[in-house]
Amino acid sequence: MLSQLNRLEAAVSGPAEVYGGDAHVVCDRVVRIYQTEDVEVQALQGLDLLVGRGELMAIVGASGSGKSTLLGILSGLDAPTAGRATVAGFDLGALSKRDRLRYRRATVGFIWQNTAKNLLPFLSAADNVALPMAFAGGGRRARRARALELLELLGVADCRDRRPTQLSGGQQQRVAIATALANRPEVILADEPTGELDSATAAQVFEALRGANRELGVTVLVVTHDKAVSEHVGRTVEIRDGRISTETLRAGLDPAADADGADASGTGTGTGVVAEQYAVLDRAGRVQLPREYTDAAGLRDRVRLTLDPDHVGVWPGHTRPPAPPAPAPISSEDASDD
Amino acid sequence: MTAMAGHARLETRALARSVGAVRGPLAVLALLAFVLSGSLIAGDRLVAAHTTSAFRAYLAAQSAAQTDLTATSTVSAASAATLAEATAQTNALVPSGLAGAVTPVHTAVIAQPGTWRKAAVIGHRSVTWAPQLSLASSPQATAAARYVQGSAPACPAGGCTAAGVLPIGVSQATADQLGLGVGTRLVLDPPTGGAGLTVQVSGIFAASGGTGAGAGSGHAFDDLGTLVQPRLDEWVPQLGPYAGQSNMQWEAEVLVPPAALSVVTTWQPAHATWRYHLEPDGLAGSAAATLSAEIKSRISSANLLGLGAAFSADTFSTHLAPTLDAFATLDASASALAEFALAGTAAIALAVLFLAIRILLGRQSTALALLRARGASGAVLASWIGVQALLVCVPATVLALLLCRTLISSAGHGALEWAVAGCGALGAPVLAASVVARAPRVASASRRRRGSRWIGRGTALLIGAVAVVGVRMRTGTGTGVDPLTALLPSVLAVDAAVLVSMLIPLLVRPAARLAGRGRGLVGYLAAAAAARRPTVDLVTAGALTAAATAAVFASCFTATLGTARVTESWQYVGADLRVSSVAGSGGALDPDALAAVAAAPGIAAHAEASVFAEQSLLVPQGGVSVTVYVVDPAEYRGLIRGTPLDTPAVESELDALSAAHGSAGTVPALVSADLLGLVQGLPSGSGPTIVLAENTLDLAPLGSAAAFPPATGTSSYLVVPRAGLSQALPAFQTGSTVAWYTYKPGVTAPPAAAARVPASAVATRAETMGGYGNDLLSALSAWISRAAGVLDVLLAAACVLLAAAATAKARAASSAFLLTMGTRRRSAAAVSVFETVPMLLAIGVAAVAAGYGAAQALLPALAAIGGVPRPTLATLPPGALLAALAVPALGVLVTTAGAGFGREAQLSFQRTGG
Ligand SMILES: Nc1ncnc2c1ncn2[C@@H]1O[C@H](COP(=O)(O)OP(=O)(O)OP(=O)(O)O)[C@@H](O)[C@H]1O
Ligand SMILES: [Mg+2]
Repeated sequence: MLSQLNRLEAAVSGPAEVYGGDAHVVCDRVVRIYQTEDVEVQALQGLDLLVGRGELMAIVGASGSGKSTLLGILSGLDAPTAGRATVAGFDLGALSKRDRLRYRRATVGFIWQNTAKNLLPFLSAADNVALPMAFAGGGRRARRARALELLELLGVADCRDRRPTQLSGGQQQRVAIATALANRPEVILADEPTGELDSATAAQVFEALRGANRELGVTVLVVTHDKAVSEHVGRTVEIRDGRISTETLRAGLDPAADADGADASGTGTGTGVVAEQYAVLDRAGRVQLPREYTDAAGLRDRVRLTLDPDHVGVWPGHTRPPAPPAPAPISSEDASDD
Repeated sequence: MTAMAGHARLETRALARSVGAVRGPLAVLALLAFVLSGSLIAGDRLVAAHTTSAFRAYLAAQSAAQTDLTATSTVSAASAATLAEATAQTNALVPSGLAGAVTPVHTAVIAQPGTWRKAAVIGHRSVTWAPQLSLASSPQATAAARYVQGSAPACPAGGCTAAGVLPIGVSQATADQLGLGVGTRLVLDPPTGGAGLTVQVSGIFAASGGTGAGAGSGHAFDDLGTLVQPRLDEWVPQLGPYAGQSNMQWEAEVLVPPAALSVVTTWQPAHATWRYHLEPDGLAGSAAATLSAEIKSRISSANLLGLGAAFSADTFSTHLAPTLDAFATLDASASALAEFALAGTAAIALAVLFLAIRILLGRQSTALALLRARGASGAVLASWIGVQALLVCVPATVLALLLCRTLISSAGHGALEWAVAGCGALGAPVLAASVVARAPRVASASRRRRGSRWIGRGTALLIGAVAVVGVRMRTGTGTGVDPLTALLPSVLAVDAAVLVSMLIPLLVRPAARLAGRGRGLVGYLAAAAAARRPTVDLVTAGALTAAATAAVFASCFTATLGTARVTESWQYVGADLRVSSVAGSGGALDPDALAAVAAAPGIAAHAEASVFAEQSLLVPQGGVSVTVYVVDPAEYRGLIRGTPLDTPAVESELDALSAAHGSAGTVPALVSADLLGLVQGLPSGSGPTIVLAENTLDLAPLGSAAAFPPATGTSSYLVVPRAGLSQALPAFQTGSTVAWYTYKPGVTAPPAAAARVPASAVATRAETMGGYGNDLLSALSAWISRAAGVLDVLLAAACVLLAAAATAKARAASSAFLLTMGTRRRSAAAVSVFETVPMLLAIGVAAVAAGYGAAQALLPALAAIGGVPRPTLATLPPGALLAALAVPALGVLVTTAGAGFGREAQLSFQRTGG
């Protein structure tokens, strides 16, 4: 009793440890529930994610897993139903109207999959790039100069006076990236930016994003289905059922990969030299096991866990674990929801 | 990351480019601004022009005595300065609004004529045959006179004096009769004795007045009655004609120069008249009420103040104020009717505006979303959209205003015009901007939003209920249309739209379930499509509902007035034709002549009655003057059967009356409501008696109060059966004083025999049907409601087209989708039409309910308008039901056509990417 009180006191007075610390993008048990006339869809079910400053990260996942929803929340266009999402110090769940504007203008840049949605059809490429700067304020000449500079950087300087309809898909996406970069954002969010493009053009566009990340130090989150993209980033997280299920780190590709500080207990995927796939253990202690594993080991409904000195074993519920001295076996329901 | 909010602004270039991208919707908006402000301004100006011409015609039709402003006074020894001052004072009677429209005519005539001191032309014993001359002065008459000999009288350089010779002008007739020539000098003696005045004829004129030589001169001689035609008197009646000439006393007026008036009034008091003759050509109809008030106050203060010491018996008077008041009352009634007619139009105008804005925003939804994501604030977006709309609305409104001002010269209500122009130029931009400025709610507030939707619906319905109650509660107070009254149809239209939005899912879901169970693909798809949101979105359905409601209201309103007018004409005449004995002739109508009318081929039924006015009903408390109708109840009941006069109450009364029997000295009777209390519950033996044509009869009143149609408007009356009367008084024979006839179907004119009934007056229902009982009011309001009708049709058409445009894309996409799946074109079209059926039904029901409800709720307010029939129940004409369905149905047909089943749809399908 007394010890409990003491602990509570300590929790109140002591510096509360905030999840994520100083990570650039923090998602702390983010929940997003869509409510329509008669159904509720839980698009995000307590998602945790940490992204370090200057990181380039890919998000993959099956269709409908909640990737766009996550990006919507991070871009400030949507808000979480519950949980905390923080980007560059902005708490996205509790933005005032004014801060939301500031956030959209200067902190985040967004690129959609649909090329037509990224640019205003009636403005030239340069004008499109200059437009967000107009919202943020700034001299006309400075805007123009920066727009040209950005177009140059992305290799579409020769398109500056053309309308979006007069550009190829790849060019449009690169102009869109330039537009997203216009106000020197800290974070770029791209939702399948290469979805409508052929692989060569997709590579160009991705290269543009990578360039922005490398040269401007912008944190980049890309949602993609494109293997060619996900294989070229240092860290790829997979969303399943509204949660991060696995994470793949590619050594040598991205040194910042470990900056997230997630508890990663790894099992080698055995695929090769560079990539290593991890399952993610969330703060409630939940792990999503890959389907192949559960199928192969016949894990269903109930499993037995064994605690060994250096690892935890997962056994089908109907078999006895072989180890002689198991401390009290723990039964665990498959943690699909709560 | 440095420059933050506060500097945010709009790229003008981007804005200009964006205008090009939405030129279609902007053109619609411009057209709308043009049509709305143009029609309202033009309507106002045309109504004002119409009112003004009606006003002028109305005033021109009045006699001069009804429209002149006059001041009269007796003047003696007034100096020129006093006279000038008095004239200035009377000039001040004329309100500034009448400044250009009156012609002043100032006349002063000496009170008693002076006698021409001259030997009798024919000397006969004691007869002095001496003409009498009245000296008169009138600047206007002097100016209007045309001199045929000599010149107008003018004072010599030193001015006229009593001692000198006063120049006069005489009319040609006077000169001929009295043998006067230019230069003739004569001496006038005052009637009361005193110094004579020497005058000399300086000119002989032909009075061009009266026959109207020119404007302004027409009334110059109005106050100089004897000038133009010298009055003839039989001077000495027994003398007889002499030498072929009548024995005549001449009396004539002669003109002295206006400058000599002070000399004349010093010599003798004069009657002065300051007449301001109204020429209505310069007047505006809208000013009638203010003019009248101003005139009244000026006249009364002038009567208080008087003209000064030199004047006595000053009187300032006019019939103009009451005349103006009469017109203003009619005009107010007419414009109240017009406001009723226009009340629904406002609802459609709003609906159309909403649709246009919706289309404008819909076309830019992607761009707006992008701009918002890129950090455009609500203010930037609002000014973006607002400026787009301003760019087209302002020029369109200005153009409309300029066109109206140049094409229609009559000035309308200035303030209203500017208000309309302001609304036309700014309304749509402000509305559009305020829609955009509201940032879409970011948080997952859908539950709250659903809650607020219910709150919104509830509020709308509550406002409607409160408005209806509010309007109904004000029965009898106020005479015109206040904002609440005028807004009622719009409010109810909104309520109808809300109800539609709630009704449609109720209708559609079961239908979709039913159709899903059946086999028909078309039915299934149509039901599914109907259940889908886009076709039935609130704005489109609401706009169509508002338009349909306004259409229903307009036709209900017209029909209600029409029906009321028919009923009123029945009550006024009592039948299709009424022949009544002319008041004063007293006698009964010729029975043979009446029979001839009844036998005429066009007559369906007839009834006769004897009416005795001012008979005495005696009760113990005293006597009451009553009107007694002696009728044959069965005959009268046959007459009114099937007409608006035929109500169950009247029927049962008449039945009771024909069943009642009289006995010697006692007659049964129906008594009017006000007499019922007097005649009931009297102890037997002291019952009521009636003195009917000097016969005293006991009265046996029947139970209930009577509502005898021919007695509508009469306060105290009795209805006595003819048979009962003859039983009570066998000797009393009376002819009929009034006869009613109804026509056979298709007959409109009275038979010729009706005109041949001696000493009778004929009234027909047809002639009282023409208007509101007053031609001017009828003309005014008919014109205005026609204009409102045209506007209604115009706006409803715009509404239908816009609704079509707003939904065309969704429908085209879905039908194109069906086509690409291999559906037959006809089936796709059928789906597209059928999917709107639930919406049509819901809109129709809501529009009929709201339109009829508004018409019903406005009846008390309508009854408060002077000169308009008072219906008790609104009429729902079949045309209203038709309108309720026609408006949305037309929208659907246009949409279907617009969805373009075929290439166009496929193209749009490809463009939108499915
Ligand atoms: N506006 C919405 N209303 C209701 N449900 C929604 C809405 N948007 C998304 N969802 C649902 O939320 C879940 C996640 O959707 P989301 O768009 O985030 O998926 P995604 O991972 O981006 O899929 P994809 O790869 O196909 O783009 C889905 O089940 C989807 O049906
Ligand atoms: Mg997506």
